[in-house]
Amino acid sequence: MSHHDLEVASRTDTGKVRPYNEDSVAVDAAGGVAVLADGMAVRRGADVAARIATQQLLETLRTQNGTAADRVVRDAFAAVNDAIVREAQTNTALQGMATTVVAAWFRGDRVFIAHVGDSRLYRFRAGQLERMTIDHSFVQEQLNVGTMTSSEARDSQSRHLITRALGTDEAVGPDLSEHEIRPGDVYLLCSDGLHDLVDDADIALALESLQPNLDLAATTLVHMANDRGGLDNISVALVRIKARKSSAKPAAREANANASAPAGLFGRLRKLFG
Amino acid sequence: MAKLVISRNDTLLGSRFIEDTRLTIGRASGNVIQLDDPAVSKLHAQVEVVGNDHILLDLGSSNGTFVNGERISRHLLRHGDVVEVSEFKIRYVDHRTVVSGDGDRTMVIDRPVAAPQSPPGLVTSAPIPAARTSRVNYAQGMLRVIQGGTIGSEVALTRPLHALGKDDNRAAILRRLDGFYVARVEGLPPKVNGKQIADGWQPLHNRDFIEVGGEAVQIWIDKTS
Repeated sequence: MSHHDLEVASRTDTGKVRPYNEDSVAVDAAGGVAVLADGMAVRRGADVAARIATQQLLETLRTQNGTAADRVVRDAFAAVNDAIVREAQTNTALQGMATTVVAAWFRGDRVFIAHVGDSRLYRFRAGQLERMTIDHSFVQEQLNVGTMTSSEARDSQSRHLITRALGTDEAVGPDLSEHEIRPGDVYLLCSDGLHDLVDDADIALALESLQPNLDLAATTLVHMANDRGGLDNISVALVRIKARKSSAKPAAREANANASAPAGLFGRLRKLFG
Repeated sequence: MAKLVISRNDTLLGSRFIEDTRLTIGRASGNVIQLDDPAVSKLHAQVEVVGNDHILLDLGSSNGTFVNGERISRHLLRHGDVVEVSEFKIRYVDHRTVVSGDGDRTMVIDRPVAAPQSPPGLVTSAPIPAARTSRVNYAQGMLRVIQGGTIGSEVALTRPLHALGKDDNRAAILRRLDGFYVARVEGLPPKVNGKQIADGWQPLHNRDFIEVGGEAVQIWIDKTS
């Protein structure tokens, strides 16, 4: 059902400071899904929360056909939230565990992007790197209302305070957006262990010079973050849209394009805290 | 907990924890930190609390507010900063940095956190925050072109990656802390000193010759970096 072939690569690394890796990544090229989560906990279970999120979202989304996509994604996120809350109720040592999530779901000519927290998705298209998600973070809120400048945000002590995470509440939902995909696009999902340390220009440079070799690009992004201190766990998932298969018949392609949800269904990157 | 340690001419005058959402500094008696000196304005400067951060603002003082020798109007305080108001030196000590060093742990907060009103003159749109500033001592080196370009020309390796080759045969050089590496990106593997390399990043040594896609370069690595 997917008209575009995808190529994927992913890496997750403990970094150079933390004792454990509490990130989780799951990718499935054939299923058209990439999911990345950055777990956190009051005591224990950060890794548990992250793994529940990536595994459950991958399993759910890979088998769905992309109709009523916004409902499917919202339900899937709600189910993950429930699963984390339930797990913490049955095992009290895990109470207070939560996770960020960013997911990219490729169906037909479109990608559905959903996220909670400060894990991000970037799109690299025609040499330009564009951030597709707006962090649910204290610093982002300060930027939105103007109480902090972007240079202050960069060095803020509050950099790691996030305002939304799965597992914290009975009703936590993702921000959703839907976009057309093009052959040659590269999508990067990453945890803050990357974007906190490696600036956009260097991320773009890595994707520009290495994208024919996604595995090498993924490894290199992790190296770059480690060379800048590796202060946190570092995770990346890369998805490249390969050229359309020549076997796809124009008529069939058009029919499916019409069947998929119209653009702007989710609204593009709404202002979060207006 | 962060505090301000006030001294004058190397004499310690006192210290004050930053507890409220706003701490004022000036000559007038209502200030939290009162500095009795004619060169200090009545309302000279203030520290605002934004989440876990402390932002120092000059309140249009006559003689200015300086941080680490530079005149500021607005400044995010970092541990060890020295604020100068007239002859007074106010050192910013951030115990969270000193004691826990745990500023890199991700946490969820329950909003709202103390957020003062938007000060005038700040951009209200939300630019993408750049990655954190960090000083990194990368290896230093340059390439000398042997073939496939201006022969003999030199290219400083000032960015993390440098692309080599063309068309279907491409490689890249990666700059890291401990030196430089080369890897095949696509097509035939590059040759280092005449030998094809294995996949993945392979370490380079000073004066190695690298050939890929009709290009040949020699790397010069500065060991003194």
